[in-house]
Amino acid sequence: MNCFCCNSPLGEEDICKTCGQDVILYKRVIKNSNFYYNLGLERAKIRDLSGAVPYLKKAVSFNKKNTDARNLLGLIYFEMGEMADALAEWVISKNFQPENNRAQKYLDIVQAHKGRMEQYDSSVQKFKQALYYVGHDGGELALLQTRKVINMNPKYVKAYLFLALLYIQKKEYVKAEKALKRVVAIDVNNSTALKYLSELEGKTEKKVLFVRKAKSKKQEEDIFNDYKKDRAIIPTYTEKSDSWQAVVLLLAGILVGALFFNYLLMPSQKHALKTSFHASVNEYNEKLSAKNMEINTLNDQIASLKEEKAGVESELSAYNAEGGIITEYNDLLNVLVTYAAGDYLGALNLMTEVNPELVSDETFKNTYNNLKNEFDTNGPMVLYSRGYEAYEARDYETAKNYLTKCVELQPDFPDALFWLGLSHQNLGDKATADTYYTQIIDNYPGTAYAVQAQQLRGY
Amino acid sequence: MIDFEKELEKFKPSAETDQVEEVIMSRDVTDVTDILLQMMKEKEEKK
Repeated sequence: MNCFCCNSPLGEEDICKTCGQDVILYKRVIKNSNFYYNLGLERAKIRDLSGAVPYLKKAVSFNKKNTDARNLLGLIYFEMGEMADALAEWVISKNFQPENNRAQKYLDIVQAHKGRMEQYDSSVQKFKQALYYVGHDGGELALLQTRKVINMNPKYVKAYLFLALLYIQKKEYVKAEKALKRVVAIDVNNSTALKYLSELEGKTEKKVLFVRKAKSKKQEEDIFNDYKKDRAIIPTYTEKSDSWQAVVLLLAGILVGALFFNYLLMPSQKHALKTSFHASVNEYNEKLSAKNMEINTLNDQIASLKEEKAGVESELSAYNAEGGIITEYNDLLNVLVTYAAGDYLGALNLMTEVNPELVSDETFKNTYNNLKNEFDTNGPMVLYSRGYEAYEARDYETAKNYLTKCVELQPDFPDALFWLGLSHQNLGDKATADTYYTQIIDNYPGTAYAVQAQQLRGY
Repeated sequence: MIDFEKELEKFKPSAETDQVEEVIMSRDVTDVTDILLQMMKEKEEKK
């Protein structure tokens, strides 16, 4: 025993030698815990499992670190078919005492048998179904399910008790008694089982008595038959029957046979067939509902996959389709290539086709913004100088293109307007040239360009 | 006489193995030694 304050070993004294803590009460608590553990152990040894449980619970409530008590409690739960409760106790026990703990061995054994765990889970699910059925007027289905539960978990005390209760409800007392005897074989003093058994006492005995009576009656009959046989052996005088009497007797025999077949044999056959038919129907219904559930799950999966597919497709089309993200990347790339090739005007025209709103990528946005900034700041001046150079080289078409774009970007640019007008005039389009001259005369009166424009316009 | 409905109410489904964690969380593992320690702490604090 260790001190609860400093965890150092305690001797006979009532005070801890290391920390000086008074340990009288603590020692009494530990003694009480051990006392209840011993009581629980005694009960468990005589298979009074449900009787042992409260003692062991008390033992761990006095001392939660009483791992022997906790491990035994887990073992009892396991024996009664309650694997989850058993695992919980062993895990708690291992937590309090990680080394030299039997709980580890139990946990290892259980975990090594994964199939058994799955079977246990399945039995619990079926038991839940059985509880559901019985609450929804499905007594027969509940019975079927509970029988399956017991096949999967043969020590499941709770399921046996439930099965017994269902049989009692159906007035099948012998079967109920059989189920209860299985409970008593696992847990000798199970109070619920004993209560049900005491209720059955009169009913099953009556049946047994009835069977006994029937047996004794049969024996009596047998003796009587023997006696009759004995009597039959005694030779007696009988008249020989005529042939017509034999025919009548034969017909009477056939009639009796037919009546026996119709009224005695057929109903019992029908009943047997009906019972087996109902059992089959129940089984098929169960299978059907399981399959329906499976189908529903699969349908849900299909629906969610379809939704996922549609989402991916729309995402893909956002990349590939006209005006999609990939197109935007291509457009920006074209602008860059054209710009790098020295085609300033071409790059500027292509720039208008790029839609930066569609792409959220940072690099894309930075590149686009840099280019836009270049075109906005230097665009008009570059276009003007290139247009002017082209005009000087007498390439009026190119000059017209550059200068048109230039005044489009910056309409209040009289120099560009003037050379644009001249380019048009040199290309033979005097009317368009005059419109530019008029703009200069109206908007920039008194300037050298206005005077020259007036002269060129001719009025 | 057994009252079927009443008896039926006593039957509760067991936990599955993947619910062990919940079972553990639901267990109150406070023991008398914990209470003892708590009482001693409170006594010392009062001093």
